[in-house]
Amino acid sequence: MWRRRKDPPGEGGVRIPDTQGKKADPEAGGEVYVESVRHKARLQIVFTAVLFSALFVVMTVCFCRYAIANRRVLFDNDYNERDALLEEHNRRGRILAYEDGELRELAVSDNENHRTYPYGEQFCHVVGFSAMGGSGIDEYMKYELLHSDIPFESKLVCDSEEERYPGNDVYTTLDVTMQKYAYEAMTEEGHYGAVIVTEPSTGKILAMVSTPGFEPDTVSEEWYWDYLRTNQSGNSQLVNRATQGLYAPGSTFKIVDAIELLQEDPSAIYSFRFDCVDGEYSYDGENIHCFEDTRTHRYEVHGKQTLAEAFAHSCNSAFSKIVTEMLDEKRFRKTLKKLLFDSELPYDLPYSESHSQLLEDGEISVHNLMQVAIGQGTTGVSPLHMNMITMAVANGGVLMRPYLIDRVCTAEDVLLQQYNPRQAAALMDSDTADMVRQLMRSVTQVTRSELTGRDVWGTASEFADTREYYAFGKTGTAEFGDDNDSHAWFTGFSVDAENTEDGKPDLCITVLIENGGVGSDKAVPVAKKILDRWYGE
Amino acid sequence: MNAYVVSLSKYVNTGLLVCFTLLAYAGFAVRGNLARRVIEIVQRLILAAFLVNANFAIAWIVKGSAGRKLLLLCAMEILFLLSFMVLYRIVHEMANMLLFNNICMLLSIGFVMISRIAFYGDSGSTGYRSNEPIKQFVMASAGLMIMLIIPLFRRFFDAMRHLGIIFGIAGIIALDAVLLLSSETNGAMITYTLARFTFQPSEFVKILYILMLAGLLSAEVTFERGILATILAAVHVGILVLSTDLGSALIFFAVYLMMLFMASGRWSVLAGGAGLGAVSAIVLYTQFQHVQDRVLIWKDPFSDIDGRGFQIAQSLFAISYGGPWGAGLTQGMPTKIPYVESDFIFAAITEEMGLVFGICLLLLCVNCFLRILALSASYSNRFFQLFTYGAAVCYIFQTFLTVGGETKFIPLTGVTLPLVSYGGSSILSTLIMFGMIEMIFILHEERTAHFMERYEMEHAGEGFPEEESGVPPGDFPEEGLMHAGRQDVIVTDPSSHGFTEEGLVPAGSLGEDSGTGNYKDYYKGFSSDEVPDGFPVNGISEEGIFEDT
Repeated sequence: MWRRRKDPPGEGGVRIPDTQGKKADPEAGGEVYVESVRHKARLQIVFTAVLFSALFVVMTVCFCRYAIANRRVLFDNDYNERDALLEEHNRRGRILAYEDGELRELAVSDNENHRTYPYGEQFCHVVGFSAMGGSGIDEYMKYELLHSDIPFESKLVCDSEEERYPGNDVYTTLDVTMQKYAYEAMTEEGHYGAVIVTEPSTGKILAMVSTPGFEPDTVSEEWYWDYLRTNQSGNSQLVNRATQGLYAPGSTFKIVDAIELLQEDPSAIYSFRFDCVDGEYSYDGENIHCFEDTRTHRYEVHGKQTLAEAFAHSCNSAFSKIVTEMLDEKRFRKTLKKLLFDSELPYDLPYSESHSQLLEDGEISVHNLMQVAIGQGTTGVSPLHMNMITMAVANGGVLMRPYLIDRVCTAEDVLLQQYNPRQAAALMDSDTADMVRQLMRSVTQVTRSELTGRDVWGTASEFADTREYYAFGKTGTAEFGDDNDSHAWFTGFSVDAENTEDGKPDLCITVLIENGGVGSDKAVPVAKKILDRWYGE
Repeated sequence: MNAYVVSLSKYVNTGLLVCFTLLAYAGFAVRGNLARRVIEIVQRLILAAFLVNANFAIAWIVKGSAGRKLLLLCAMEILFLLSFMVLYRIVHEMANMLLFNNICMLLSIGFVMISRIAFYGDSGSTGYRSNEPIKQFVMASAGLMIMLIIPLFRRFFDAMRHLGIIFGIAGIIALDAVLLLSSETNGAMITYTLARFTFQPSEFVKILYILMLAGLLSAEVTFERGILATILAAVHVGILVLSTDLGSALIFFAVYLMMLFMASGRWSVLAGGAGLGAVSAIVLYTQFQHVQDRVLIWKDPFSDIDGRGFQIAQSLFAISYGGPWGAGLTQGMPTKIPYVESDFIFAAITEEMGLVFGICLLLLCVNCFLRILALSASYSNRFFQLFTYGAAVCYIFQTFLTVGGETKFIPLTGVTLPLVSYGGSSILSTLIMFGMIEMIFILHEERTAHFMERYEMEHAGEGFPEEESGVPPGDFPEEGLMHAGRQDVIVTDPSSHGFTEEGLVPAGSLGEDSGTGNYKDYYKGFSSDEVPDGFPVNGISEEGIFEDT
């Protein structure tokens, strides 16, 4: 229809007698050619039409893409009150998880949109709540939970029964059994702290516990909310310690030291020697000492050690030497950045960024460098971040993005969106990961030293006689405050005994106990209890 | 049941507008008056169906006496628009009805959204909350009446060509008056109140401004004329910048630039003007705090969401919330946007009626623009052509500014969406402008018909050359670009005698040898008074033809 047609004669212009004698062309017989107004304007008009049409096309494409791509972010904005609009029509969807293959409801609403959390405190932080501004999955998945994608016929049925339309259901990666074990292991002893259990090959978060918890059912009541919000208990119950708590990593930071050492010099795994003579190490006038026995008030003396033995002993002197004398500071900084210190974590829900003292501006003093080496000073790490580093070691250096949401379905179980495992980043190369893995194995063993012939008791040697699985890990005792208060850490992973020792790890666990004392005394038993129950049943 | 009504209604609305838009574009492609008449009538039916469907959905939710009031208003709107369409056709036999249909559809969409905003509050408060729908309806009716009347005065239009400077001065005085007597609205001093009515004179000055430029530039664009036009335009833009009405200033500048480009036919004008615009934009940016604010908010409206970014943020929430098919009428929260019914009506429409509906609305606006451009392309009178072209640019650029601002495509300038937004000045001035476009079209049609009648009288019995040229009757050549409204008349070489009996359709490619000298004889019958100024003889300027008759 837009085919080009031949111009009618005279359309472009005509020849007329040259009356004014201006442009007389003798060859044309005294005629001049006058271009028509229409013909003259044609190009300009076509140009204008194309210009503005193109502008509108670009604009339309841009705003449609923006509106559709950002619909979640825009909906979640605090200034957008449209969630209330949806709540008028829809019943907030359920949050679900599996327990031995059976579906369990972690959060469910009745027809008046009154929300209850059947597992109460057990899941309070990770599932969160919808009232009072919301938190956890319940807030993060608001867009999905509040929308109802059931077919039109079903909506009509709801209308006829005067019910709200059921919102979409969110299936989490959480494992109710694992969460229960973790929660019970923490609360039996009345520990405050956090446990995260993940699957290193996929990044699925199986359990995330933070204690002390709160009653999510009661949050919507004003008095209880005030009690929580103003922190009247002094325990910061609302804080999810697993993701938002920052703690000095203590000796668990030696994993990072070891990663850097083995990246700079892979042969160190065989060649490194350190003689821990009196449990103390001095460099440039600064001292660092090994673990102090609280009864005898003596520093532990570890004697001659290889790298694996120093790691198993958690020898502060050896690692201070590594960091102060052996490592290249610039490269270490780079590695810390790569290991996600002082940067965003690949995690969707709220979290706190970890901080390393070495990444602070300016020259670092020898004293502080020694503090960095043993995970003290101003270095702060969240249990989630520690778990990520451990996951990367367990997974051959590649960190899988930790995630909580497995899929979203309509209330009638039609799949809307499946979330698949995603690679977040390669935190280290696979050779380094394998060597660090060896080091972490030595921590949970009792081995005989080749150098001294003595037994080397790893700090988590409690795991030595487990038969159901092979354990790998690192303990940590992070001092804080002036007294001998300290946080207890354990981070590690496990391989099913049906596999060989160097098989694929299936669980990655991080335990933090606030003010718990010594890592090997407090955090290791908690981790062992969880793993024993998991593999035992 | 509510879900049923609202959902069904939103899909029906989208479907109706999609059909309407497709027909509007089909109007470019089809040939022959019958096909056009069919499109015209189907479009009227769609328009009525849309108004019924949308208003019924709102009334269903609102219920009670307010609902009945709304339905009454809807009935009045349908009655008025349809009878007006028929009336217009009767009074002005040659009117461009497809353009007119588009206008009525845009008005209807505005009516529906303004009614929805007025009748239904956010928190479920229903009832008659303001008299904006009635005011809008009254204003639109008045505007349409003016549009009907304007063409009756068409014989005076030619004279306006010579009044360019007077229009310019009148416009400057009107804008000056605002600057001195203005009351502040949304931070911009653009209105003044006269006997209970609040005016926004820049809307009306726009028309004078286009007339001025068309008048000044329709004769050969000499350097002096170009300078004169530039100075007058610069004074307009300057006053608008001073009264912080940046949106209007931009529109005035764009119209000036495009019209000068059109009149001079020089690409260097466009390039130079764009460069000048860029430089002055930078100067404005560095000199005025409020310009910087707007750019800042455009970059990231969420950074100042409590303050100046609030409006755009809410607009983005609204646009995004509806999705492709919309939330359904009354199911969104468009009233969260401040000044939604005047400055952010597009966001409200996309929220409740959907992105697809919004896209169709934009396509319809572009359709209006292309239609007016096509008219402009078919005129051989320079004044007609320039005025129509300027009006087209003015219309589409304003639409671009408001929609782009609402969607964060460009910084917000706070102008209205012509014909859709609430606001008396905006709707009246736009309808007057469209009325003048129709008037010019009618004038052009009439003169062409007149010319051909005369021609036939002179050449009675000479017969038609179809057989000779080998072109079957009816398969006439048309213009290359696109066709506006009715079958446009193409006057081919006046020396050839190729016109059909109706006098409306040229017979097309004619033998080139059919007597080049003839036309001179033909014009002998006219005195220069009889032949109107800019007589459409295939665009030959009158200087070339009439001087020695």
